[in-house]
Amino acid sequence: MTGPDTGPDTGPGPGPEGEPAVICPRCRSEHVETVTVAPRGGVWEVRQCTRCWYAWRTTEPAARTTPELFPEEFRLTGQSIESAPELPAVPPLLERPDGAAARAREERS
Amino acid sequence: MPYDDLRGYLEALDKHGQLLRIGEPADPEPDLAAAANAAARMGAEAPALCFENVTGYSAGRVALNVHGSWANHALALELPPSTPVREQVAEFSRRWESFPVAPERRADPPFLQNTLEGEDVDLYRVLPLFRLNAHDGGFYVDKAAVVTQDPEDPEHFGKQNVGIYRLQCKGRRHFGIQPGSVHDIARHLRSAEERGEDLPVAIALGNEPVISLVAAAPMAYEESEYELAGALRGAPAPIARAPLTGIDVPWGCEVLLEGVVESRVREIEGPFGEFTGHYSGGRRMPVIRVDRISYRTDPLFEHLYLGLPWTEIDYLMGPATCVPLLQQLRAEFPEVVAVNAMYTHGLVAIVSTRSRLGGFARAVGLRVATTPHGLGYCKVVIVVDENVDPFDLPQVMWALSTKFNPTDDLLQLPGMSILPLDPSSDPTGISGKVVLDATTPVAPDRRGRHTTPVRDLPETGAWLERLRALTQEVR
Repeated sequence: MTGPDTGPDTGPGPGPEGEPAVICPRCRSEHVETVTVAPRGGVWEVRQCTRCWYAWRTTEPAARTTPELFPEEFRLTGQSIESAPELPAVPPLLERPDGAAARAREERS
Repeated sequence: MPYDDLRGYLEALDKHGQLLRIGEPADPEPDLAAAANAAARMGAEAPALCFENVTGYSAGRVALNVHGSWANHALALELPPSTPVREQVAEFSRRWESFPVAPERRADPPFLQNTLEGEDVDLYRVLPLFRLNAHDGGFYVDKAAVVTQDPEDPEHFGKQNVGIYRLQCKGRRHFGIQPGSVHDIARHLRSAEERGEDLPVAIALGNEPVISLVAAAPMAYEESEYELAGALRGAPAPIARAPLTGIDVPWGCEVLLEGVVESRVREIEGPFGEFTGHYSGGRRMPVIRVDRISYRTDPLFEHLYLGLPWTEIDYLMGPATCVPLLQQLRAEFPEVVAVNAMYTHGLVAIVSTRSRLGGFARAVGLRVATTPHGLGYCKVVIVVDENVDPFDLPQVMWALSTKFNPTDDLLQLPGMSILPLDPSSDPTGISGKVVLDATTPVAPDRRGRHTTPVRDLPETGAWLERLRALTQEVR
């Protein structure tokens, strides 16, 4: 899975047809995907931010879907995402005589 | 006859008037969660809910509040729905005595009826996911049996862990998972990550009701949840081998997700309205990649609303927390009579015990805080005499009112471990704990003036029966 984009918090850019791009109501990232559309009648979409992973359905109340109305105490920024503590912390790799840990480190770097 | 699957249990609930089928259209938000929230406010006889027409979904059926009352908890154990709480806990404990009961391996699990693999995996195609509380970070799965094996000893059946952990849906085939540090899955994950390996995982949704109870029970590391399920069911638990990972899973589950916890990956997760009655989140947690979904045709999505207690999770975890604590305490202190650890998964625990000698009750209280469950819970431990029913809170308050002297009976323990979800912990995961000794001092502890208690008159028992009979006649 790709890691979160922790770049600067930018406002909405233009969409493909001049419409304002959809931005995340929580962290205002433009990296938003439509993950599903209602299988019956297409009456809603579920969207998800690939930076902070906030997900919402388009038919939910405005405070859950609109950046300006999103509650202040639940908002996130690129910095708060990046500086969030790990739970549980990633443990150190075990060093083994066959160098398996070093290889695993290389593969993941 | 024990239930083989969730459908059998829902039929039993239906037969006893404990299931409401709702066919009118309901919106995914806010209707489903609000209805389950409301069911939790109906009290000890609240019904389970089954929504059969959710706006925008063609086939999704959603079951909520399935364990969410004492009546439903009783029926999960095949007891009469009116069984009093104390008797349900006592029966749970009695059945635990026959642990372990080996599981039964069954062929042809119904979840093999349909399959999605690899890039075709799409959680939204199978599960009618929806938001629970208003400020949850997304759509969660919070009542699935998550099964993992010990990477150092994968063939050890007992070290295989079945637990319930919150899962945040991240796109079509990923979840964020919260493997609490004091839980067995965190031990499995640590072991895999130290080797730089992914941890295979199987996630079974929509199970027969005893599986959810044992998955919520804080068992010892090498004890098998399936073998406990057999003891509680009074018959072996039916299990099957998961097709991709080979992990043992409940035979009758509605949906089975298989994949891995990706090694050494952490991503922002939450927040999520938790059983503490507070949101928790804003931490980077591990990520699961789903590689295969197997599911019954027209699967039921079983979900659980939780929030300000009491909600369904308190019924699910209540007796399942009391009984292992009782068993672990009795192993060393047979004088222990009963444990009530039903408040917020045992953040508060009340223990009744006989006192072998002066100071005994506080030794029992300290032991509560040092059980495996005590590592993350048991912040306030109240110890009462053997004749005080820990499930009868007015009796407990009487003991605190009259037996407890703060000068000598308060043991404060600074800097103890606690689950990070406890909003009062500071720093997160660290808390003071207290033992309140509300027992009558015994020799050589000779404090207070407790030698002349008032007791019920000997004839009270007979009169109680007579009055009850007369009341019935009047009604």
